[in-house]
Amino acid sequence: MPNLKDIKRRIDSVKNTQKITRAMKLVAAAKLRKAQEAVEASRPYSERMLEVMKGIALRASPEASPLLERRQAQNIVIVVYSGDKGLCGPFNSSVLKTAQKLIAENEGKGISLVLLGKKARDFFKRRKVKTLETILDVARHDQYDLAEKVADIAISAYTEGTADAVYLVFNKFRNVVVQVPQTASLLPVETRTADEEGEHGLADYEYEPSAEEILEEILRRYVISQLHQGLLESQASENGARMTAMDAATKNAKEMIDDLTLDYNKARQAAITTELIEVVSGADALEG
Amino acid sequence: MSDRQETQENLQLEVLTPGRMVAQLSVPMVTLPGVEGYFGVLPGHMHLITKLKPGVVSYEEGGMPRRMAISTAIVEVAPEKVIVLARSAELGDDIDVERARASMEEAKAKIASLPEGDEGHVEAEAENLRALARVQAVEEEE
Repeated sequence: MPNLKDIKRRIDSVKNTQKITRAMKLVAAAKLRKAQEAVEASRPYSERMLEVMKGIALRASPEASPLLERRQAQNIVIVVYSGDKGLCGPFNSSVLKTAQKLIAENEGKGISLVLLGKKARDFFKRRKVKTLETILDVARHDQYDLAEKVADIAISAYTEGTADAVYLVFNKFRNVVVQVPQTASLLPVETRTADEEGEHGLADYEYEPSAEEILEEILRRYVISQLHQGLLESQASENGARMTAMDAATKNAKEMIDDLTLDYNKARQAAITTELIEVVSGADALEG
Repeated sequence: MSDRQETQENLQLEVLTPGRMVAQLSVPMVTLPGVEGYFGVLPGHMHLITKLKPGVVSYEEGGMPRRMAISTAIVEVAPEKVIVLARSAELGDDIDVERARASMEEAKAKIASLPEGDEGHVEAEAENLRALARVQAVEEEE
């Protein structure tokens, strides 16, 4: 028969765990709200940036900027956004799996990585892939500065010719429960989709100082804005995933506590019954 | 007819930063800190895309003059709209002028202490310009 004391101890321990998971859930919920607001707030800027970039890039020839130039992809750079902490469901594993798949698809090409987050670092440490840069404590940085740093690494690799394509792998935030690992193409800059062909280019624009210089600047800022948006989405995803995971953990803990409490009560009943039997049979013995 | 008049007489001004939409309103005119100096934009301006340096964007809102400090930016000007994409933008009313002054002093000290061409020197100069823009956005309003 299970010992009453042991069950009690287990109940207390599960209750403590539940306290922690509940607190983590609340923290994640608060962070998620902030992260979602940040995603929303940055959207108008990136949308306008896309419009302005398209407006000018569509009128420019692909040779106008090295960042528009398509090359046979011999060497690629993959930027991976992971988290610094665990306990957030499939958030890290799914983005790392997607990155791993992209690497496998590009077997034979030169691959270098730009990693954000401890989880990505630990994952790729054991696999021998060249890493250009590792950035930890992602949430503590100014997100735009971070995006700028990553963009400059990607852009210089592309213009120097050490990379012919740059991809970003990150978790896209759908909603609190659903986060989708995605691969986005960063460089060369995608300027047109099929249905937009030839729609622009009517108005005559003036550029100061020169079209090339402005184009360069806009393309750089566009790449930064994409990386920035991705960072914010990744953070919202991380907190959404953590909130969901911790909610499930809290519920599991509750179930466990209920089961253990049932066991405890049963054991208590059994103990009382045994005691009663002992008393009754003791009395019987005296009488007899 | 009156509708057309309206759009002809006003510009749609948008100031955006990566963090938020700072302003979105209809204005009769706006002055921008171009790389070559300040320039004004009226409705019907030709299409133009250019860089802005740290400085003050000024316009009128409901008859009241408004001033906004921006850092380096890109602006798209069209006959009916002006879109400013800046790294940062702050309305004069929201600026802590003492802090702006303090960071200006700090930047100036750095400029003096570091040799020209040093990365810190360049950064300090940019910081000085940004702080100056913020001070100006407040001061000329008073």
